[in-house]
Amino acid sequence: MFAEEKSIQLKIEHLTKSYALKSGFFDRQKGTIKAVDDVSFTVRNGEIFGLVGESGCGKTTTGRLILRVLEPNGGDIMWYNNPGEPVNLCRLSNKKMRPFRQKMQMIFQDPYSSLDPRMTVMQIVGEPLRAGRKIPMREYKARIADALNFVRLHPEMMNRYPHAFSGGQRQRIGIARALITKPDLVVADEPVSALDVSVQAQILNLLQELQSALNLTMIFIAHDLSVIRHICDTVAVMYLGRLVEVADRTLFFQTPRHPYSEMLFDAVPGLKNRKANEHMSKNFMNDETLCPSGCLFFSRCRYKQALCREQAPTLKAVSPGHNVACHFDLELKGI
Amino acid sequence: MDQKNILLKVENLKIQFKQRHGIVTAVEDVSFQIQKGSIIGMVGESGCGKSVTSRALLRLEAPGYIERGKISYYPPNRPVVKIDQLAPRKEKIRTIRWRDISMIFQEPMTSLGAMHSIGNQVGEAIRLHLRTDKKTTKRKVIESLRSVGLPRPEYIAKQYPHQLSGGMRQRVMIAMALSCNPNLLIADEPTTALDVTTEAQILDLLLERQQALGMAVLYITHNLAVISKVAEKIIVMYLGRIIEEAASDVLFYAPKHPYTRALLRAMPKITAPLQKKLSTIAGEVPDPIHRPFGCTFHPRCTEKISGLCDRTVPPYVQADDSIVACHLFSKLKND
Amino acid sequence: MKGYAKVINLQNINTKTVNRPLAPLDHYAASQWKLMWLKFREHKLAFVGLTVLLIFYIIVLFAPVIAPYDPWEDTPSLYAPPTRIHFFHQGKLMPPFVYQRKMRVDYQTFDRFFEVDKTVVHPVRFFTKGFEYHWLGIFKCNIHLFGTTDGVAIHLLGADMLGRDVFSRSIWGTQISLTVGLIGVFLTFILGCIIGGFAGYYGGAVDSILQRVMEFVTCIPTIPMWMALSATIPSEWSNVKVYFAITIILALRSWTGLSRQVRSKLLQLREEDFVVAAKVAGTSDWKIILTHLLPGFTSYLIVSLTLEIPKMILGETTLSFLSLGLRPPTVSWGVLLQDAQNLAAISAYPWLMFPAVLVVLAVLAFNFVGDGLRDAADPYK
Repeated sequence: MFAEEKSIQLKIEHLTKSYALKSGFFDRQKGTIKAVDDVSFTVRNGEIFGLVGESGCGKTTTGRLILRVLEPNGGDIMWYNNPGEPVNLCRLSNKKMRPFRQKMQMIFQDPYSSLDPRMTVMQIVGEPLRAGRKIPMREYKARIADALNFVRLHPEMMNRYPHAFSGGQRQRIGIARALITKPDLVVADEPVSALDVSVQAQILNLLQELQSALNLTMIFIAHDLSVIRHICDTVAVMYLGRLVEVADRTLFFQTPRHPYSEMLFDAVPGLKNRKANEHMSKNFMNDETLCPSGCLFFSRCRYKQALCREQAPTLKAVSPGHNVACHFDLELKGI
Repeated sequence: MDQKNILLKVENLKIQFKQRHGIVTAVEDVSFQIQKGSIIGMVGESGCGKSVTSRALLRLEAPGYIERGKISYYPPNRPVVKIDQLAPRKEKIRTIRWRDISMIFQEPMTSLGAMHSIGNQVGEAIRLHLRTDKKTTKRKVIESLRSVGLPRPEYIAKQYPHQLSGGMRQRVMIAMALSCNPNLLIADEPTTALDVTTEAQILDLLLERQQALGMAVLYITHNLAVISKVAEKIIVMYLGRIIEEAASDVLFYAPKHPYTRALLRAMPKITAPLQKKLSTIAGEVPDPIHRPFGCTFHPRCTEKISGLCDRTVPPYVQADDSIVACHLFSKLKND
Repeated sequence: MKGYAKVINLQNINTKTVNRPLAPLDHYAASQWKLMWLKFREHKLAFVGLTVLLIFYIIVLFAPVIAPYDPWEDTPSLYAPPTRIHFFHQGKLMPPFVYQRKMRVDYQTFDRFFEVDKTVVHPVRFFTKGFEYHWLGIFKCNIHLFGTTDGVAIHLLGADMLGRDVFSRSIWGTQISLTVGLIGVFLTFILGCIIGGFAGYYGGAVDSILQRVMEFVTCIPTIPMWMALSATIPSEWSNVKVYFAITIILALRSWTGLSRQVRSKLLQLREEDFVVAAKVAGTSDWKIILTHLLPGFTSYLIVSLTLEIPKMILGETTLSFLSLGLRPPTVSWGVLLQDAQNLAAISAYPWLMFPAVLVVLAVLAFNFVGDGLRDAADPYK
């Protein structure tokens, strides 16, 4: 897919996670919900990989699967070590996974529930350090102070509890916790969407700065296209558990190819004159039922054809660095 | 703008909360007016008092209380109602709620009862206020559900809130709020909990209904972009005070107050050329308990005049087409 | 926009309005327990309850010292009414004293009269020597908080049908009645934590089965279950054995509520982001349980345990009152109340009801404290 194999950090192949749908008195299994359905993508070393979609599209699940917080039902997660062969994270036992845990961390959306209110900042930020190995107290404290300095918090605040901090400061603490082990990969799950607008920009800048300073590879999950455009190098759009479009930032924001991406663009607040955009409110859900054999976006698609009902499109390259899962993306846009 | 067209007038409103550590002023010296059939946007970050202000219009400000100020409602063909003098729990204000001024909230699930079907709840609202008989009520319910674009309204009326998606629930709330043809609709962050595409649909729907019914809308949001293309006039609040008020276009293209300017710069935009770094506003919104002296924004302001901004509250002044509360402009006037 | 300038009357705005910042919250480095204490203190009733409980448990600890008489010692003053403490002797103010009373029986009606001998003053002394006891079961001692030196009895709350001092018996009863609750709650705690923990941590089938068991136990009516269980206690068992059997019976009924709470709290905490963060950090499962989950719900556990104690106290009282629990000669509040079972006894000798007052006081105090703790349990809200 991408140019040099060398710079690959992470390769996700056919990742799948499904949940049993139970109902009735005896919890009979009625079927399965595929939260993540056959998702494959490659993340290059040092890039910020954006994952966009609406709530329930599986972007958060994907992030958690990569970190092995959730166990996938199928697929591979290939981790490219600097020297040596790639390791398949899905095949590792919990114990063997432990050394890799130090190399991959997570930043959460909710700055309130992601910090244990009963722990001091020192305990929170130091948790990944403590989990790895025994560490002398002096080094432990010094590294926490370093991490706090990194996110522009005063190390003196180490002994305070999270309730002493505002939302933005709490998010900084969360970032310090994620970076204290000097990880290679960070999954940032909507890190700014719960923050005030004036604080969002600070956190975005901080993330960007730290990413380039530490040469971090980052998977950035968001629902806001303008944030994605600002920070990400590659954009992947997810819809109902599947990737519908993966492209370089410039390509994606110049010409979004998938009808769903187009819909996301239409929905960006303040972009279009709303009054001229009435088709959206009218045909928003003619048919809520999904098309099991065909394209998942069928019921909401503006350009749907007979073929879309029968056959599910696969992700294919339409130009270098631009992959779309749509039968008619070229014809319909007149390209 | 002539006096005849005014629907609601708020003058020098001050709302306080009694707390453990003393009295907290949530809203201070807020004055604005809403013209018949206009759309007003009210924007601000957390703790700016926008929600409290809007609730006070319906006397739902508890546990806070109106310390000072006037809220006058001018219903067409009826004498003026002094809302601030009504008892919050008595009959008088209840007839105004829903019928004259209605409100929709951020989380529709909390305002819809879980134990009653959609049809019953919408019907209840209609019957209570319009005193219609059973048959008319039923017809009106179906009518109002259809008017908000819900497919198969007869079927939806039999559903329960948990069976609907967030977007559909918000549509039901809008149907309920508009069922009595109010003169003013207060929308308190109605789309914040929704997905971007759903948000766009709800916004379109509100606009469409507004045009069809000719009511005024007070749209409260933390996201400037959401209402940029919708509102005629935008009120920006910061820490309990209005700091700027202008027509939507004026606010966007020629913002006056340093806060508004910084806020607009700090938002990543989908169309503007990419910046390496977002410009930020230093610090965070202080807790309302620790409101700064003088201009509440001065600790974060890059253009503050020391000795003035940190001592005295800036008065509202007319600057070009905006009304601003900033010493930069009041000083210019005086010189 | 010009018309707007009218609305905003510039002269009216007091530009000197200053918002005095309130005192900063000093809680920044305060731990959960400190925050809880700060919040608990605001709850006035809970604070009163806590004081009452403290007094009660001081009584438990020093019962033989506070009680002036041997609770099992028969005296001839059957059903003696409470002794009055006097301060005036023939119009003169004096330190507290009592008069001696003599019982006279009218042998035709068998009515008893108490004649007060108002000539001799018997001063009330503190820390007097009286009957011998082993304090805490070890120290041999004969000091009592109050009494007279010349052997004249002070029945603060009268005497019962064998002439035993009701006050002393109530004080001794406190020991049993208030500790039954503690030991019972301890057993409840162990049962509830283990069973609820299993259900919440493993989930799935284990959870389903344990849930059904809990529901089954809650379905059994309380009093018949107690009666059935206590009927199985052999009558030849010693007092100590019966006492423990009763606590076990009480605990067998009350663990369900606690285990349910443990389970739901575990399920809720398991989904919190900070637990996920700990997993991402590579923290092992048992460490997550110890450092995140357990501290997360100990405060809730304490609350429900506090509210469980009064139920235990009431349970013991009920069982003993119905002669199903502790039996004389053991003294507990329930056993004492057996004497006040009929209306005649209550109307003629109302002082026999005194243990009921203690029961109400203790239960109320526990409930108030529990309420206060519940409000304080989550100081982050």
